[in-house]
Amino acid sequence: MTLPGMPGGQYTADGLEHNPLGNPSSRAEDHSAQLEKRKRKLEQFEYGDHWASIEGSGETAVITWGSSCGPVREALALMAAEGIPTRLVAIRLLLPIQPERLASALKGVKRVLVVEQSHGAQFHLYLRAHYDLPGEVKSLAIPGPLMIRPDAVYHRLTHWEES
Amino acid sequence: MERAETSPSLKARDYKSGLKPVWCPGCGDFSVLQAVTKALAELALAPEDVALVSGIGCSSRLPAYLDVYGFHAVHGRALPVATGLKISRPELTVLAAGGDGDGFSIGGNHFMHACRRNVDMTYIVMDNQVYGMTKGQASPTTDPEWDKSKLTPDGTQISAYYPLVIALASGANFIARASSSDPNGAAKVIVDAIRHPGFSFVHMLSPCVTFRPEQRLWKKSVHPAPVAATKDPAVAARRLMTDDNFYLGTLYEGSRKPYQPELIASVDLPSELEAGFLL
Ligand SMILES: Cc1ncc(C[n+]2csc(CCOP(=O)(O)OP(=O)(O)O)c2C)c(N)n1
Ligand code: SF4
Ligand SMILES: [Mg+2]
Repeated sequence: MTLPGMPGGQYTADGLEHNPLGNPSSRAEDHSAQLEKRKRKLEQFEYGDHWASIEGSGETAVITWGSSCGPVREALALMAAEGIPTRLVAIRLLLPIQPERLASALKGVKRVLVVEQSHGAQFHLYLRAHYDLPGEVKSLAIPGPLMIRPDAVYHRLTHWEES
Repeated sequence: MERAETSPSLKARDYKSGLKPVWCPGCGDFSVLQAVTKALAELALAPEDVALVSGIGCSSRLPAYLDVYGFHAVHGRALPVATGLKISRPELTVLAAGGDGDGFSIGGNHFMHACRRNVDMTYIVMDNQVYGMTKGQASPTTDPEWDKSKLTPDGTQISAYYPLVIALASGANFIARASSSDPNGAAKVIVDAIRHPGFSFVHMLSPCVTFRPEQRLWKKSVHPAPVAATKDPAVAARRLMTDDNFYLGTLYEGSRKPYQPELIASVDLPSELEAGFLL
């Protein structure tokens, strides 16, 4: 890559579909080739441990993401205070999917609660579409605008059979 | 803007990329491309020291046709990208370009604040009073009675937007109008715009022969402004009150100090830039 000011390196960074030289192109082959290239870039990027925050241990796990992580953490602290260890898997990277990493984060888990701030349980459905989640899986989906409260998560975990 | 003018041997054609434009035959934008390359040659700017940022539209396809650093950005967002580039790389000559839809509809707020911010760059808006790329809808500069779009069968019935008036009111430091029907005159205006410190706005009349074929007659309507540019915004404002939208030439040359914040960090090598993205 060159930066402006470097002689002979002029190119146009084009938001339109382009060929490998960066020139705009509406050819189907160029489009497919660039789609593959972008996919490869995302898939081969080394995300390291940043793909998710994994905390705690136990046979019950809560999978969540984004702003729901805070209240879930508070709920898990309540659980821990009562001597019920619970795992947190707060996913930061929604795509590309990380099947091996999630499987290893959920090793030995028998119950999974998917917590999200949404009405249609989109995150839960997304996980079910892409991953084999272990054990019994339940969903806690609460739409905004009110934040998910830690006690809602705590209640669902401690009254597992009721839901 | 004081950039070494270092490439005396380059001709206008040397600033073209060689890529064939996708524009309709007869589109005014061909002549604007011509005018921009003439201006760069006249200024003898090294191609690598020029950056052209555009938005989305037929007119916004300009960067790929030039052999300078180009960025074909998001609709209406040429100015924020160009602003960021100029304040982080003040030694570059930064140009922004696009259409009336890009610059005055979706990007209208950016236009106003770019004038106000007065960063040293040149913005060329190719005005054809229509959204050419999306097949002929009314834009802010369209005459309220123009009824040729199915979206506005009775015309918009909303009075048109006057780019020069907005530019002056918002604080642009250089305001001019040029026409694609006179590429030499347009090149001269662009040269003056680039040389002038601060935010320079060039209102470029550039017909869309496909969706506004009547604009082919613009070349007969344009006429040079009978008076020289003024440095007094009050005089410029009075002149705009009698502007028929076809006066060509420079209207206003202001003396406001350009906005250029102190540089805090700089990156010299692409590898340093890339390192910033690594985890
Ligand atoms: C965010 C977004 N909204 C809408 C569009 C659709 N769109 C593409 S070009 C355009 C208008 C272009 O008009 P103008 O800037 O006058 O350029 P011209 O084609 O006339 O040169 C629009 C509305 C888009 N590409 N992106
Ligand atoms: S549609 Fe109009 S603006 Fe677009 S290339 Fe054709 S003539 Fe030019
Ligand atoms: Mg237009």
